[in-house]
Amino acid sequence: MILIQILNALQFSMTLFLLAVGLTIIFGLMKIVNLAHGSLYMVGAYIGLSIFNYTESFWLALIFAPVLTALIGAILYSLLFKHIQNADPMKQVLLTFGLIYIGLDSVRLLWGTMSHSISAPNLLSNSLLVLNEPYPSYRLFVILVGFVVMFTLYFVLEKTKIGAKVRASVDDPETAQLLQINTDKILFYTFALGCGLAGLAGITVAPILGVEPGMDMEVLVLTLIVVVLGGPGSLKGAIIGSLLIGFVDSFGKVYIPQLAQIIIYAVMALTLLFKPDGLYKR
Amino acid sequence: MRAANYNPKLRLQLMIILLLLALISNIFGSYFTRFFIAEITILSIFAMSLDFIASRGGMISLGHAMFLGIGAYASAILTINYGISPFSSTLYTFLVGAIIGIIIGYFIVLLDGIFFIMVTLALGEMFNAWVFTSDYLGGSDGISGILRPNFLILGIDMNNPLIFSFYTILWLLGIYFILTKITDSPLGRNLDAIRQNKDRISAIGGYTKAYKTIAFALSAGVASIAGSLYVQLNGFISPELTHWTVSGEGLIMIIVGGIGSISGAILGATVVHIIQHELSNIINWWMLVIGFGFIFIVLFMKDGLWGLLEQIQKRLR
Repeated sequence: MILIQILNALQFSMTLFLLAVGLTIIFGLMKIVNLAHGSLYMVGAYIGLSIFNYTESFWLALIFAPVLTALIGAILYSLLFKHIQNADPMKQVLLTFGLIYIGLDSVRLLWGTMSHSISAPNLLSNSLLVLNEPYPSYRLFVILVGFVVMFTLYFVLEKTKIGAKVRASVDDPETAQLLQINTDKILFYTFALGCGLAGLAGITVAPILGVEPGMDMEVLVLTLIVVVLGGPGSLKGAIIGSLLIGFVDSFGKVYIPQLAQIIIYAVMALTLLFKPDGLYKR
Repeated sequence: MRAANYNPKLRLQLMIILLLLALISNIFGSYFTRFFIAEITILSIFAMSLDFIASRGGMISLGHAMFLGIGAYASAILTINYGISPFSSTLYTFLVGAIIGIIIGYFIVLLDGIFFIMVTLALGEMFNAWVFTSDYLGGSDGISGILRPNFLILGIDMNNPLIFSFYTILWLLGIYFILTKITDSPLGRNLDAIRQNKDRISAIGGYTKAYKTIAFALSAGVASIAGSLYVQLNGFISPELTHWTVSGEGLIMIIVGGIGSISGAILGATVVHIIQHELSNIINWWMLVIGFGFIFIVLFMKDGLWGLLEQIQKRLR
């Protein structure tokens, strides 16, 4: 029983991680709080839904939903986000708040207000025995996707030259530019990548939670909390933060359902009280 | 953070125009118009509370709906459970909101821009989550059966929407008067100085934290009054009132109106609420239009409608 809880918590943590990592890198590079990050997650799920409905292939949806979401992210970056970089936070909040409105209504107009579901592919529709407990293999797959992304990002950011350039642009953009690092290009690609990962989170949770308008708001605040808790701009922070919030939320909901929501915020408030810059300050 | 709009003459002119418009449409309006005006007036009070800390204090709160909720619930509980008259309950909610504002403000006012936004968002959502689960506060059903102030002794029937609109407008005027006085006072000047260079003010011995906490508490109290009036208008509270998007919409109102001008916040609340309401009657994709509208204003109208008015004022001179 406890093992099932742990796996559920892990699966939720991985979804949060996919969302938070994009947001945190975007924040680190551009000092922008993108409140519309949840909308990209929702849009990713809906794009996946359409691909799934037309091709009846979950795998195509899994690949192309994130790619198309990344494309939307790239367009948004070029049209909007590029211009509000370093603007005062008020403007960023309002512009991205406007995007939430646009995202929600576009989804309603294009796909309707009903909630939809995507079935997991045949390969993953059964249950596996984990230490004699049956557990849906699709959820294990989501955990796996999360870990693959986590280790890939960690490897790329910490061990490759491109990663070093990204880290340099986060830590000190001016010096990075002096060293002939094209920070604009890095911003463009990381922004698109971050949005793509939000889309990936959307399509991977679609078979578990379904696809409906309003799913953006359900994850947005938790994602923001993960980012603030972990320390904006830090990959390690996003990992630790999403695990912490994922576990606190999942276990809280089972053992103390009345207080589950409040505990998350309390964890955040306490963390910020003692570590105002988050757990991992960059 | 850029300097906040400050133009006392235009502020007063705009206020007088808005007040006349409100009075005229209230007197000649239908039952529904009067209700609508009361709603706009209450939203304006909320917008002013956000405007005051955003412009003077440089604090952008995405959790101010919490204080709206504190005012609403405190007012309901004081009248229903403790038998305090609705009118005094509104006065008490100011105290409740301001005291909670001092406690919260003490911990958060010195956080930097984005952290402040995130922490207020999280606190607001925490309150929202708590309200939804609390049996004492009625959970997701909220509380109903809240009465309006009773001035029948004076021959005034508050259940008449004409009268209640005037009543909310009186509150608005009082709060407007106090907030403008504070903006123009040494406290307002101090807050301006702190916003522009916090470290320098600490270095010359200014009380950064104390001033910012006072500003936050004041704003919290004002938002609570708005909450209290809101429940009296509707007769019930829905916990939805404390959702963070309500704070977000409040921020939209002040940027549409023009941050820092106080009467601009009222203009913003009026314009945004009318557009939201009218548009949602005509088309069902109004959120799309409004979303693009917000983006347009953020990108192209730096000081919102207030900026336009200032330009007009310059032309006329």
